[in-house]
Amino acid sequence: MLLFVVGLAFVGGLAVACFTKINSIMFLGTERKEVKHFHTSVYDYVSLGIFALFCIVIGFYPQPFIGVINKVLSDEFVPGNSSSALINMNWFYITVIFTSALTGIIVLYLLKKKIQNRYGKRNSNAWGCAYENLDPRMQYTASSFADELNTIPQSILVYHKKVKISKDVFPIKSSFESHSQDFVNEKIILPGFRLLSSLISKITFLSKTDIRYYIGFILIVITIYAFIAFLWM
Amino acid sequence: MDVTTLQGIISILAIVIIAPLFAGVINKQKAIFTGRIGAPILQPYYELQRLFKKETINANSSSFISQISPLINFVAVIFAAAMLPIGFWKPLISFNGDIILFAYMLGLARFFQILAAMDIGSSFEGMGEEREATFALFAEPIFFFTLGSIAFISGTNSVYDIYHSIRLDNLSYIVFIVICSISAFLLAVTECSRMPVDDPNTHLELTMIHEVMILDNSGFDLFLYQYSGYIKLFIYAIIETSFFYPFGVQNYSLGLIVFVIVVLILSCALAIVETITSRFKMKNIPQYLLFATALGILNLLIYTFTN
Repeated sequence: MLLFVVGLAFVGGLAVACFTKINSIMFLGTERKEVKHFHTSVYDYVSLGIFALFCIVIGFYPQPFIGVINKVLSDEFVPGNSSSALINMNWFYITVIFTSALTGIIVLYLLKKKIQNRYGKRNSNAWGCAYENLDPRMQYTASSFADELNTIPQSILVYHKKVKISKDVFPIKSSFESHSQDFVNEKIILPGFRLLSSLISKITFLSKTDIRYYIGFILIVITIYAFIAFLWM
Repeated sequence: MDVTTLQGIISILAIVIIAPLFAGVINKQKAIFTGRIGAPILQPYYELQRLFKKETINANSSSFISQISPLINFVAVIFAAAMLPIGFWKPLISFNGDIILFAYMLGLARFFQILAAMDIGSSFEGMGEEREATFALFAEPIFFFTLGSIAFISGTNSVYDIYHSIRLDNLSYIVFIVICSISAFLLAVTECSRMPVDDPNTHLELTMIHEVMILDNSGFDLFLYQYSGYIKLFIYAIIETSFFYPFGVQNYSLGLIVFVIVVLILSCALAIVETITSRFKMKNIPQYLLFATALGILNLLIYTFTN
């Protein structure tokens, strides 16, 4: 129980770190290299927009979705689990609170616009501590972001860094690499998949391009099913 | 409007109005302890007023995330504050399970602050948000082993009910609550970027945590960040203070007097800690936070096994 609580608490913190890292590296800052051929179609926007819309709906109106989860939890997996906080919580409060929060944000945004119109607003270079030639390549990378988090459990993650510092006056050719191995992925999941792959490769003779083989397979399967049905009856 | 709702509204208004004063009182005491006259206790209000009237300057590379993050940060902190009781008054937001919403409202505020820091694209902000995300990871369990362990013992999930379940009728429970308050104090120091974890007065980019994240904000955006910082500090003061309500206090006026006294004692404790301690090295901060987590776990285990 105690371990679960500690794990859950750490998962919350890791989730914040992970989502901010992914979101920031993917969408924020400026491109490190100029993207010349990048095209996004209307269909991409629509399909991703549907997912985004679902996230918003679930966030603001979770009752029906929580209801489904509760039903599955209480009826199928954990009978008599009706005492859990998930079920006892009045999820309508979440709708009211987040709608109120959104209203508050909109009101504050309008106030901000009004204040900025009055006192002014402009853009400027980011603070470079007196260095004026800031470059997109000087932005924080995903590796830098995760460096401290990776360093703490480095023995488990097999995290290692390779730093080459040029001894020239201007160390332009210096390089930095960091790698971490996922123990579960490397030692448990991938070997399992390799074993599965080798087993599947043994029955590749079944995969033929001749349609007569497929008709033959279908007939064999129907015969097996019919035989099982005959025994069942 | 019923009396309970009115009390909730008064509570949240009080938190929003008093929060900068609490920071001012701490700064004044720090100045006195170090032999200086110091700024007046209303200085945070003057600074907020100054920021409110300043021109807003955004970094060239910043996107809409930087525009909306201060707003979300401020609103999320206000909503978290609305779940805390002052005296025996029921907070504006109180329902079964609100302890989780409280933790995640503060998490949402932090999430957008980190995103806004990354949005600028400067390596200074990058450093700050990396530290913030790392230390937040270690700070999360402390919360669950202070308020969470009282919730676990009392069997309630609402912040209001959790505090009102505290009955100091046996010695082991008193010890349990006192250690919970020590853990909460260590958490407050971290979450509010105070000494010895972070120095709110430093302006050296390489050593800052919270301040470096808002380095490229100004005007109204900085006003919102600073204000939410004051409210957050006061939120942790209320969390700390609420542990001491049940010392025989059973009516509103006496409850409020106890509240004011304990808040003043807490401000004094913060000022003393900030005066006599120096900052930890960055690499030692996770150890400090893990110590607070271990304290919370041991506290819960000892109390559970002795009862």
